[in-house]
Amino acid sequence: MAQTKERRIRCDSSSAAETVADVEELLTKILVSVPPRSLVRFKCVSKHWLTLISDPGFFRRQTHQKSKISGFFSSKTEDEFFKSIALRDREIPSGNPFKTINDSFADGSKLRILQSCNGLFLCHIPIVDVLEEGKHHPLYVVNPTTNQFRALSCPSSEAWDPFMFREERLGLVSATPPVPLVVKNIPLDFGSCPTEWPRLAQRYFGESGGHLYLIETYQHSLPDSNNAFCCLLPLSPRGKDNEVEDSSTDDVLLLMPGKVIYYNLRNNTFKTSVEFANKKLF
Amino acid sequence: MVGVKKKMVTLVSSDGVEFVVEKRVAEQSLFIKNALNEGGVEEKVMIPIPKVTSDTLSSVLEYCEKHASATEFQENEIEEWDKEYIEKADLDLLYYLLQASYSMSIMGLMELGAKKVASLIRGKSPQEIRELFNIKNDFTPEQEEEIRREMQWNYE
Repeated sequence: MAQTKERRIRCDSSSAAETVADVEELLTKILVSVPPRSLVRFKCVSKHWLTLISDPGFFRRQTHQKSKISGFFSSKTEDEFFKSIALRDREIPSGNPFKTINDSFADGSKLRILQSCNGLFLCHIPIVDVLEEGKHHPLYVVNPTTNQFRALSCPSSEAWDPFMFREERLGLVSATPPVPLVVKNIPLDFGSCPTEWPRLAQRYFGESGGHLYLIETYQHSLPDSNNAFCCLLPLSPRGKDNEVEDSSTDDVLLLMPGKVIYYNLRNNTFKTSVEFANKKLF
Repeated sequence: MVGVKKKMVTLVSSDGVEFVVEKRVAEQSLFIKNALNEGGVEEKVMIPIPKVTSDTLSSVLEYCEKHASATEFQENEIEEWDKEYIEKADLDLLYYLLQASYSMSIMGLMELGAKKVASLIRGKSPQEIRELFNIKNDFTPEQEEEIRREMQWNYE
């Protein structure tokens, strides 16, 4: 293998690059390694790139990339703001991105991380006031990379019709992006419903098929009255022209006490999937 | 080359240069491995490698040689070697290596090259990407604006 040859002058690198980008498998391999922040911008490159990057399969490949965790955040420090703790010998970017977020609250309120997913945090500000306790806390999705946070606002009451989906005791309020689509319950002044705020039964903050979901299930003290409260945050644009797409990809499976229901995000319809014989188990 | 006679194969680059390498080195490429299995001929095997020039092939084989004896090294030694190997490849060679790794089915090299390209293009603007890869912007200004708006709240 002792081949030493003068390196020939090759044609310019852009044509070599072009050939690489023409092979879809190679392009995908490259793009899955590009950090999400750049990737989002690359959606503007061309229709082909947009399709490639928006594909749920691509997203799965990207999130399944073997990545080493460089550190984590902890809010339980004496400094009372989030502290990044480095793992191994990896470096944490200088400066604490959370300090500015904390400072931006004039009353000195501190955010608390509830859950995290794909580099985003779900946070809230704990309410100290006893009278306010039990009320629905405002939630924030925080992106520590960009130092941005967005409040998940509760839909306004006039947009909310408690008589919708009475059977399922679920309601829907939609809003145009970037305000998240909210599936909501919480009956207001609704006949036999209790006056107290419902108790949070479970909370899910996660990514599925390229979309970020926040799903909260509430439970009233009344027996058999169950409500789901679901916020949907699209991470990738849902094109208007892709209605031919299999609508089953827009199904969210919700585990409600006693049953599992399908909620279709596109049609806003519900379908009971399974009903459990022994409701106490779930 | 001492002791046991090693099985050798001859690879021929697209510009006609012959490379005589150990079979276990060549077999880092699944393309070659399959070709050898199908052929079944033991002696004097000659495998043409289309579309891969001698410059690129020589570099590819350097990678294959190292990885054929990867078991002799610690994992981080190989990692370090990979890093240096891909670092020293100039831009042209990098793209040629990627193409070669694809056509010769050398997964590790493909992964390594793709990661390197990814690190080079991160942070670039869509226009810079189009120029680099010679891609035509086929969006209407309205469509582009819409995508920009929709992605705004994620990161911008």
